[in-house]
Amino acid sequence: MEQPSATDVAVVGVTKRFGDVTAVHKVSLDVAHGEFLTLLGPSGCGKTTTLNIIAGFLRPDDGQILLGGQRVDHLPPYRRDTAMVFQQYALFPHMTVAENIAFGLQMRKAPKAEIVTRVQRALEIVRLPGLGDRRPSQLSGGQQQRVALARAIVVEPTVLLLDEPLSNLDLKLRENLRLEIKRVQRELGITAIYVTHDQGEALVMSDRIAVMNQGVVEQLGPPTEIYEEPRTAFVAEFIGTSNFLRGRLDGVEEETANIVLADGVQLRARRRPDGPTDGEVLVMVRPEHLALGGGNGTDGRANELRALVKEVVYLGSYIRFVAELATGDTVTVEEMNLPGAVRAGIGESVTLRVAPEHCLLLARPER
Amino acid sequence: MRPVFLVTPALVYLVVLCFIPDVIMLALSVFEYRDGVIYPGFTFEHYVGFLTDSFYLNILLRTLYLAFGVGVLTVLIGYPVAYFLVRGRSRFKGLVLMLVLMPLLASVVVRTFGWLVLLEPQGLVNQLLDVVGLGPVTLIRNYTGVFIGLVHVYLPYSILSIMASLSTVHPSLELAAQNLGAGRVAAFRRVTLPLTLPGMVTGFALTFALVLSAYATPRILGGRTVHTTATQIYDQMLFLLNWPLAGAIAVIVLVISLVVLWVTSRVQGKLVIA
Amino acid sequence: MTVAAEHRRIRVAGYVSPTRAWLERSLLTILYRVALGLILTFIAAPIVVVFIASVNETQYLRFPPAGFSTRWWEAALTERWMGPTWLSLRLAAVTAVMSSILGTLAALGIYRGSFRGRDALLAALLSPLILPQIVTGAAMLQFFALIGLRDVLGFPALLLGHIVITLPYAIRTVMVSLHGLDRRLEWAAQDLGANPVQTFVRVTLPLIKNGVFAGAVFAFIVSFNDVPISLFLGRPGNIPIPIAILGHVESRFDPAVAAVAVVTIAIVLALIAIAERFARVSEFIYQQER
Ligand SMILES: Nc1ncnc2c1ncn2[C@@H]1O[C@H](COP(=O)(O)OP(=O)(O)O)[C@@H](O)[C@H]1O
Ligand SMILES: [Mg+2]
Repeated sequence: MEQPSATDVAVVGVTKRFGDVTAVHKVSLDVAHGEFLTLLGPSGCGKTTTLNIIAGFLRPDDGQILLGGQRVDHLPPYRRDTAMVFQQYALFPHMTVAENIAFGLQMRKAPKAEIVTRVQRALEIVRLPGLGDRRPSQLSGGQQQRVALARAIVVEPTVLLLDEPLSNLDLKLRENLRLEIKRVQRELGITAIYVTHDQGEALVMSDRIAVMNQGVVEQLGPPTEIYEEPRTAFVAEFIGTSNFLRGRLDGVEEETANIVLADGVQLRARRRPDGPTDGEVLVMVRPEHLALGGGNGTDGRANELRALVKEVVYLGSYIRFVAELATGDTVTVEEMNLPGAVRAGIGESVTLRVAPEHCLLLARPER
Repeated sequence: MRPVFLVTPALVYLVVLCFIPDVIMLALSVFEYRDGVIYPGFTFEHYVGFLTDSFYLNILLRTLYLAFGVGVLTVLIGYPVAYFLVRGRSRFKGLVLMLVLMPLLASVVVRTFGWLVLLEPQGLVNQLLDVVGLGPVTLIRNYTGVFIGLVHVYLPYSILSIMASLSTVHPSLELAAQNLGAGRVAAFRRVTLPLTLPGMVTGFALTFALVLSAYATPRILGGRTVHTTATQIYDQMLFLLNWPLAGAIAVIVLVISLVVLWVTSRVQGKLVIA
Repeated sequence: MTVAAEHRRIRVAGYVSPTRAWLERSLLTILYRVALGLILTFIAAPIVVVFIASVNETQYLRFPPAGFSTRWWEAALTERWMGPTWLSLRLAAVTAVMSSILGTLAALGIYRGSFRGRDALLAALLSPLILPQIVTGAAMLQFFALIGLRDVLGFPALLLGHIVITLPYAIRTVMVSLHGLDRRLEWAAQDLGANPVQTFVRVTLPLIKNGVFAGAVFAFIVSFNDVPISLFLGRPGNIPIPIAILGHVESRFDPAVAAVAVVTIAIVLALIAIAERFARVSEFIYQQER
């Protein structure tokens, strides 16, 4: 194995403004050799801008870019060892598939014979052997994106940059290709920065995810951490489905906290060391951690909430209940659809139970 | 930075060979002119002369009148052709389009020569008129011939302008009007026609401005008897060598064209150019 | 509802018999078609007669034609006419090349630039299209005369003048192509290691080729057919073909001119046919309207 500690890409405190808009604000990232890092966030949060700054298409207003340990932010794109896969493919329409893939190698003055074999191999890697003589316009969207991938990997860049490469494709193809891209990246051991607004894509493909919001990296970590330990309400809301209960802090211990909801109900929640210490807070609960029904099997530790069922959605393997608490907050509950599972009808009053370790204390964002 | 640098050669070229000459011409037009010699000075006498002398004023007014008439007629007869080319479903459409664009490929001189063949005292048109009993009519060396020739020369510009406008009006609008009870004529008159007014105005304005500076057609079909602003510029320049007066006429033509095109551009919110 | 009950329905004009409806329709259609036919005849007539007159036996074209003759062609294909034609051909070719080079660079600069006054600069570069050409021609003659360069009159002056009026065409067609060019293609090229020059040669130029070609073709045609500039900038024995024809037909009627005219039309058509093999030039005729 390669040393996992070697840093291929470092983004250090990069800021970029367009007029009054701050597209990227003090973003810092480290990407290890062979790592697959995803920039995840809603449209307009600055993902493309960050990628374009790394590639050199844009100059940052502040901060540094390092590739393989060397500063490159003064270098034009063609002197940086990056390769980008664009959202709209950006294949050269006047060249054949093979010519497209050969382009980067020609620019690097590779010998003709080597170009031929490497183009051949790249086509095999992306599973398009024999399509070298086609024009991009003669290929389907999925095939075009494979060519774009081949064109980028064939130059063996220090870092492969992918800007929402799948967002123009239909769902089936998307799911297929995300595995393909991941496979190619893993097989070649290539370092990659992947931009997407699709949390599913990010969770499946990434070694680490950087969740971006309004030009800022809100959280950077492995998918499990992002999902299970969101640090901000934004991250919790953007990844997966979350319920938020509004309350006030009423006593903090080392790893737990007591919260009083608006209707006076007491709740115990898990608190991270850097979590809030007083004031108005949010308690985040995932729908699958909320359980419907009475006190059987209780160990006395679980939080209990009274709620009124507003809606029941049958989803096959599980059932989703939407219920309203006395505080006015709405929560979503997901129950596995197993024999003997608790059922409730619309209008029914129910008790919801959730273990304290599944209640995560978060700061309430200022609105 | 670099992009500006790329523009520099073209810009310098135009400044030296177009803008500076224009400024020089403007300057010359206020210089004095006595007995074939130009003296530096500052006088509006050439402008005043041109605009008050009944001979010259007549030329200007007749040219404006001609430009107006040609502009109106090119729009009127250009419209059906444009309509056919945009809305028609005939298989001859491509052929008609070629026919319309064809004249743009031939020199004005060539096209006008064609009219000379047709309009001559013994030409085909007079032969035809003879058969119908309308007798021989003088169609060249007068304004009639010039008018016919100019309409032909500038018709394609009007057709293209109207086509551009027409293609932005979705056919469903006319169908919607018909669906609301308008007859075909009413639907056209109440919906399509007003919506394509910009194209018609553009066509008219372009033609108007171009006629003011049209030289070949008035000269060939009008002979030495028909004078227009353009033929006057030429004659003053090369026969009478009165450059200040030629400059003054040129400036007047320039100003009128620019005003017409500028007003049209402002009204339509886009640049109108040939 | 009560309001609706009081409301009287207004109906469309009402029933007409099928025959009447058909008559109304046909009458309209016939009127429209007749008008169209007459207008198209008007458009085609002068060009058609030039072709016929060039092979007509007699000097004046009458109907029915008197007979076939090649004597006008024999007169046309002499040095007297082919000299100016050859001059025009060279002039148009050089004009087209020069305009395309200057115009392509300028269009790229304008399109890429984000400097202030960009729109004003574009307007300035396109202004020869707005200025009456006869004014431009006259002004250039005065200019050359005043700076003591009467010697350039003839081919050099014609060339300089023709570039002025054809430059805007080149700029506009290239601008149209650039509008259709995805900026990311150039980014992709640079990302793969192509420097600005390589990017231009390998990616940008091939992708705006149609526009450059179209601009060159337009420039050629405008130059080849030009009257208002050539009127002032030629010199005896050194005049382009439209001016030669103009000077000749002013004084007399000579069917040899018809044959010469056919030659000029043929040259332009041949050029377009050749250009069309290399690039889709014709599609730019529409895009010009903007
Ligand atoms: N060239 C530009 N000029 C002005 N604003 C821009 C430009 N590029 C991006 N922006 C703005 O910067 C912000 C981030 O854009 P972008 O990086 O494209 O977001 P994302 O890729 O995450 O959707 C947006 O508000 C966008 O409007
Ligand atoms: Mg983006």
